[in-house]
Amino acid sequence: MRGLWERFWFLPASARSLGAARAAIALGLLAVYLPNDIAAYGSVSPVFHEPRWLPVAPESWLRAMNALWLAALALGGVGLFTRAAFAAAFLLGGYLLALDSSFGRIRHHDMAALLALGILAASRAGDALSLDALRRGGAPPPPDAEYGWPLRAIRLVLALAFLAAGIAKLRHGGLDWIASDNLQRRLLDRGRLLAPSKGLGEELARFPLLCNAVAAATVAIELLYPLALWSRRARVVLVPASLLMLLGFAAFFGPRFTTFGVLTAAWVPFDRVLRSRAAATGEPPHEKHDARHEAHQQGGA
Amino acid sequence: MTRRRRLLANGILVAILLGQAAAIVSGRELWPFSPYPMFSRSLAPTVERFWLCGVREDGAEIALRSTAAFHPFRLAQLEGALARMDAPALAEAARDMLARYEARRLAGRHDGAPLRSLRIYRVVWRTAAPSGAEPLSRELLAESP
Repeated sequence: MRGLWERFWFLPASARSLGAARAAIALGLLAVYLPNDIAAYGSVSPVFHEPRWLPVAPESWLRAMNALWLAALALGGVGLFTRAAFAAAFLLGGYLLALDSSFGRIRHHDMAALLALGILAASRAGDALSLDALRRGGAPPPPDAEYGWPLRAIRLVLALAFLAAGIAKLRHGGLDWIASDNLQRRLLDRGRLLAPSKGLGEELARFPLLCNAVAAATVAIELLYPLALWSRRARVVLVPASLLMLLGFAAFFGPRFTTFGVLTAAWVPFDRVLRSRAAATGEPPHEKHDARHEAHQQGGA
Repeated sequence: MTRRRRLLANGILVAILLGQAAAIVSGRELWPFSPYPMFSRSLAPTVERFWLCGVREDGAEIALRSTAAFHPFRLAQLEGALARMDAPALAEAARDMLARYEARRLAGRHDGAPLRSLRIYRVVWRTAAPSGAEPLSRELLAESP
């Protein structure tokens, strides 16, 4: 059992692959959260605030914390003072994102982003493709278990989030969630938030059988997503399907689970991408063992 | 990878597995872990929603849906907050939203009409009704001023 656990999480992987995913995730989250004006909650009436145990800092403090948080994400993205940057992003994000969720509705996709920042803070994601690595100089480090587990942990966060969402639908809605007119009514209901309006959701709601098929596909993708952790074939289908599903949520329901899309960078085989780019430009490969390790990593157990 | 680093990584992986398992089994929000219950319940035949309406200077009532007007709130967020409020809190919410709407309008952050007052209604809908259909009932909960 212990051997299986070790082989699953701690296969050696390349520092460049982790570095590329780090940059994509941190800069992607920066783009997502840049327009978020969390500091504005400092001037909102307390009647909107629940739970009250989480204190709301004065607006000027929130503004400063938000600026530091965004700066930490940017530093994490370019890999400068990488571990300190991710530690700061995790701690500041922990407060700011919790605050954002304590006014009216929990923003579930923030949770996965926060966990990913915590994982990157504990990782050595700045060892390659970073300004830290440039400052240190020398050859990139060889593949190591250090560079594999963080991306697998982020994939685990995504897999558990999708699995939980699938289980919740079956637990609360049962098979009716798929087989009844539930999705149609939900699509119509979304257009009534605060006042009635027409949207794409209403167009989809005109086709009952299509709604049933979409509902079935949603639950199937969510429940099966964890298979992508083990099976390469499942990964090839489920990861793009989950992205399509997220696009569908945004188009027909409204909520944008953009951070889940950003975290999907943890599935991208960056080694392969970087190698093809190096081959195209005639650069020598940086790490001789990358191909073997990546094949092992991508192939699944 | 050193033994100490491996312990740290194992600790994080186990914490993620246990935290998420606890949230799924208990069905409770355990920030930053969650049972992710979004849209999971089947809708009842009727559902209560809120309407925010502004009253223009000429007395006409208009629906307010612009998130730019009520920044930093999003529509779903406002619905969630209003659903938990009692009468005094709703009155205070109406006052705060009108002040926010007008301040942002004067600052050029949205192009809504000037408002004389803001009303919050509770509206009951038949969930299968198409958009454009009238609600089953509409009750004024708060108005400011």
